[in-house]
Amino acid sequence: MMAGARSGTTVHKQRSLRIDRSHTVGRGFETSCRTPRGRTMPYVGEAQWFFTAPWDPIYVRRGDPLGLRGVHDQLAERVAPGLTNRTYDARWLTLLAWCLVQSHEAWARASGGSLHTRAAAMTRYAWLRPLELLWVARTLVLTKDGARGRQLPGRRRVRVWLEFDDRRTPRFSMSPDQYRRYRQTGVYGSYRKLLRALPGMTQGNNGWTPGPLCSELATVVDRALGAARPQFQGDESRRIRSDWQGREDEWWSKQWTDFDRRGGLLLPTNRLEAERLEEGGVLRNALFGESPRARRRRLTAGALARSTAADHTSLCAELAAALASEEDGAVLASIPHLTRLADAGIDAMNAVWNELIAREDEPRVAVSVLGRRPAVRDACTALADAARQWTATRRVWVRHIERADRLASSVSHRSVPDILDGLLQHHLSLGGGVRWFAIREGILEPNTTPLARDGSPYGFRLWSLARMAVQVGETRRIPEALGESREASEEEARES
Amino acid sequence: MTTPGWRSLIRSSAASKARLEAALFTTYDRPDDRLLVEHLLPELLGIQRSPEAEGPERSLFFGELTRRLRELSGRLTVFASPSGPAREDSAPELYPWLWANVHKLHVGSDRDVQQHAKLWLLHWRTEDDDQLEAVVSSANLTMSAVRDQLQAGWHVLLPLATPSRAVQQSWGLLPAFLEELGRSAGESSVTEHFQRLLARASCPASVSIVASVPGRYGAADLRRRPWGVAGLKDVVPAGRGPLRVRATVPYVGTWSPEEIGMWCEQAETKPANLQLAWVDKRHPWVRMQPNWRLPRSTRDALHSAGVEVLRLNSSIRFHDQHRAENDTRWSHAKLYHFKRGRAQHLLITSANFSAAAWGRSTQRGQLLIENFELGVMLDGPDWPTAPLDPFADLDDIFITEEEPQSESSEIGWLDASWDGRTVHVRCRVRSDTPPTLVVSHGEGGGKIGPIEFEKEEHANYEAKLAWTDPVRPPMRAYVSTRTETRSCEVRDVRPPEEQVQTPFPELDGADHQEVADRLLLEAYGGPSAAEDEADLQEREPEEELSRIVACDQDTMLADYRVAELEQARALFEIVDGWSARAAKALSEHERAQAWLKLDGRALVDALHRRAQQASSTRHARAHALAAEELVWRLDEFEREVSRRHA
Repeated sequence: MMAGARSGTTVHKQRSLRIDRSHTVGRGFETSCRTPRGRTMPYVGEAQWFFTAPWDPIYVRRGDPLGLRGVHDQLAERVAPGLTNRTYDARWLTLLAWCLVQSHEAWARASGGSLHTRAAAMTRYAWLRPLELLWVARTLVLTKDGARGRQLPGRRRVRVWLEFDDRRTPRFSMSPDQYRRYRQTGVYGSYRKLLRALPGMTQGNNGWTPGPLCSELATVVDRALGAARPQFQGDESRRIRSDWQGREDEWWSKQWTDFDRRGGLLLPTNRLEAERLEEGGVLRNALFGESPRARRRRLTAGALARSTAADHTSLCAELAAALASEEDGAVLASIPHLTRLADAGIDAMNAVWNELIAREDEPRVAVSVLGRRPAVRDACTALADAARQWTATRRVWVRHIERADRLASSVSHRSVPDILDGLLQHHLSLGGGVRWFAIREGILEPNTTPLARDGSPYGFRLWSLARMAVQVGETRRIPEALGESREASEEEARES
Repeated sequence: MTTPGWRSLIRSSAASKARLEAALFTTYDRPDDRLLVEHLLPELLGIQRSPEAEGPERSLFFGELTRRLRELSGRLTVFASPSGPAREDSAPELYPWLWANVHKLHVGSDRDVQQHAKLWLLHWRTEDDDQLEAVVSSANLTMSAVRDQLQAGWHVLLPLATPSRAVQQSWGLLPAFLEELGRSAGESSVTEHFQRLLARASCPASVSIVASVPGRYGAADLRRRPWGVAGLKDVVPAGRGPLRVRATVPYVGTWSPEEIGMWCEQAETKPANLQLAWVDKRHPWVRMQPNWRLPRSTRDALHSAGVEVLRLNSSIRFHDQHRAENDTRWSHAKLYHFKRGRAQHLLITSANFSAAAWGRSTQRGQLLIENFELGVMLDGPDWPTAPLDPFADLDDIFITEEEPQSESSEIGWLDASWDGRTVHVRCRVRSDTPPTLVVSHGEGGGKIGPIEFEKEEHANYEAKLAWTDPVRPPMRAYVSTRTETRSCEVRDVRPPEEQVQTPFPELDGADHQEVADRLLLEAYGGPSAAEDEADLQEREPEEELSRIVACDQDTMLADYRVAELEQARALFEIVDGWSARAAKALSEHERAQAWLKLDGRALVDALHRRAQQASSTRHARAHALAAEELVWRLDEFEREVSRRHA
């Protein structure tokens, strides 16, 4: 006899209700139901047995192995204010401006209101996110090379949505978890600082309400889209019913059915090619004009375009020299020294990592053995040299610079085992983000998956700045010493 | 409920506005801190920020997570098997601080046992009512269980009502299972909350609980609580015809033909009516890694006993959406299908086909069970795959070498907690020489010890070690005998007002006080803490406030000359946000009230700090005014709480 029957109790079951399995009122679907009158309510009571669907966890970056991100951010904000390493395609500013205009209208019709609390901002963002993803989808459909080199976060799931799920699966075939986190991992998350900082982009610099520049850029996109523009169904002045809340993706899919229709190909650009954009003139003044931040970006971009440096450290030295007469020139003078120390630190970390993962069967090694390996020995010696130079250089204080002092002090030794020990202890105690290694009783073992084989060097967002400067016609070249953004290529590799 | 769903484990069915009040998880493998910190807890706690962010946004994620975990400290519990040496494929812990607030308890305080059940019980609170979400599955709390394995499970979300004994009894063995689990972990009180919840929501009709609890049981014991295989006869389809049983499990223990016969007898079937769905040697689930295990001797025993082995070929699908050819996961599901005539039941369980899980008859006629196991028997579901063919050739059956007898450890069990003054460690050790204790703050942190344990009773020892530093709290306790060392995490059992003295983890150089203040202001209706992540340490408070007003007005304000009244209004929204929560907390438990008081005081401090940092008198006055108002409301709240308690 079954337990429920044995006790004679009844179970709360809403049999008369039609289950809407695509609805997203709760944390995922199958959590709400529709009454015959169309009202939604949480669906509680029905038990279900299940098999688990495949799970695609979000990749957590290794981050900041030497704890130098803070000081780099401080200095990067001075040479490339408002940018991040993921802000490198000015085209996305144009497309996001269009998304802001479109989603502002939808949000205002749905609820509108104040935007100053976190909950309100999340409601506002919910109307924007589907448009970001529809642009990712549009790019995947309309580019012939599989959108190679383009910044399309979420492309893997969107491709599934396009090709296997008949474009009907909620959340563009993302899990609730992935969809929620798209706020950080998506394009808006990458460009949000600029959307708030650029003069005239958003009202009150709130990052949401379109300003004059935003409207101008949106018009450029509208013109390019032509007949592929969203065709709003019904009266545009009518309010959007509250039951679309939580289903903004569905609403947009109904409104923009022609998202994959060929219009003017105003799409995210290939990061391997930096060319002037047709709307570059509109963006140029905002990005490189006369406001204090824009002026600083302009000075930095100019210095980078003129540079003939062969390596990262020399490039940074040229940049510091070009900005020496600025009010904060003394602070910026530390950039090349910090670069040398940080690059040497990352080289040493990578040397250790490579030694470890080369031992495929058993990626564990005694720290004492590791110090005898030539690649590790050379990298440690170079790090100690950079540390001594750092210590010998006079610097102006900048927030978090003590982390660099700590690193230099930890590795300023003569013997390689001591340098290595200092580096590893520094990483374990002061590194930020996921630690690469753990040491157990003198044995080093990896802490992370070997997904990314080595760590990105610390930088000052210079590649992003140089690329956008070319795109808007401020400069004509990206200096060779900047190479390619490893972070951007890693991001694409993960998404592919 | 006859058709299976296809869903992610990392997803709750509770409404998005429901708040988690308490949770209980059980797992066999060491619970994976990454799974909890990066995936499961953000989902359950409704945290929108992400750990993959870098810089200040990352600090805010960990700050928010820690704030929520501290609010729930002592109400999130994971039960696991005794801590043993780490498995080869398990990575070292990245977030050891997690276990201060998510309490990990190990079974085995009184004898050697294994915790193999996979149960999640989640207590939710919504605006209207309380709810209980229950998941019984085959999934451990590890990344590989969720990412690399196909699991089967059962899930329900139930509204909670007035408690009654009859309702609790509808859950069959589950309340007793929870009681035994808590007792075995040396913390009986931990599971009491969930036993009480089971008295407030009926177990769905057509569902029965099948459970195993370690021990030796005579016939009388099993009549009262039919653990293990003894429980099957009550829940298989009733009737007189032959009972056909089909199972698929990834692990089959060592059985003799006689033992198989006894299992079948207890389950009211015969070996000839038992079928095992199994893989061949070329199956992808075992080709690269022997993820399934069947000892050679057991294969022979099954054959001798007359048990039929069916082939699960690589194209077999468990669900319409299961694309077996593209799905690289291997099945960790444990399913037993019982059919008599037209009636059929399906058991979804943690129990592999092993004597440790189901029990073995001893010479004295007792049933000896070694594992905690849990399953649900459902009335109605069919076997989930297409028809299976028997193996034509026994040699095609995938088999493994005999399992070596695991060496029993000298240290059988340990547990550690810290109340802010003393680290209290208990352990069960098979040695007459007292073990020693070292307590550590963590990687690169301080250590205290060694000190010697004192013997309590039987094999149990106890040690107390003074530790008063809240900035560097104790994280791990190491217990050593002459031959081995084992360790466990230290649970933080300090009261809330002491827990907040410990800085958030993973700050990456961000200022703890600034992160804490921003999260606090945000939680009560202030601006988003991450409005400008890069400026986390630098933003001028008045600039932030002006932006709020500018946003509200939805107009471009070229300068920050805003009216004092409007600034105060924005700040008073935070005060009002706190007051609204305080009004609700008056009808909640004491712990919620304590947190509200604590947050209220912290808000006052944060507003004062901002008043001091303000560069203009106008801004300073607005903050001071809001702080003054909040002090007044805080006093009111405390008076009301005292009055109600009196």
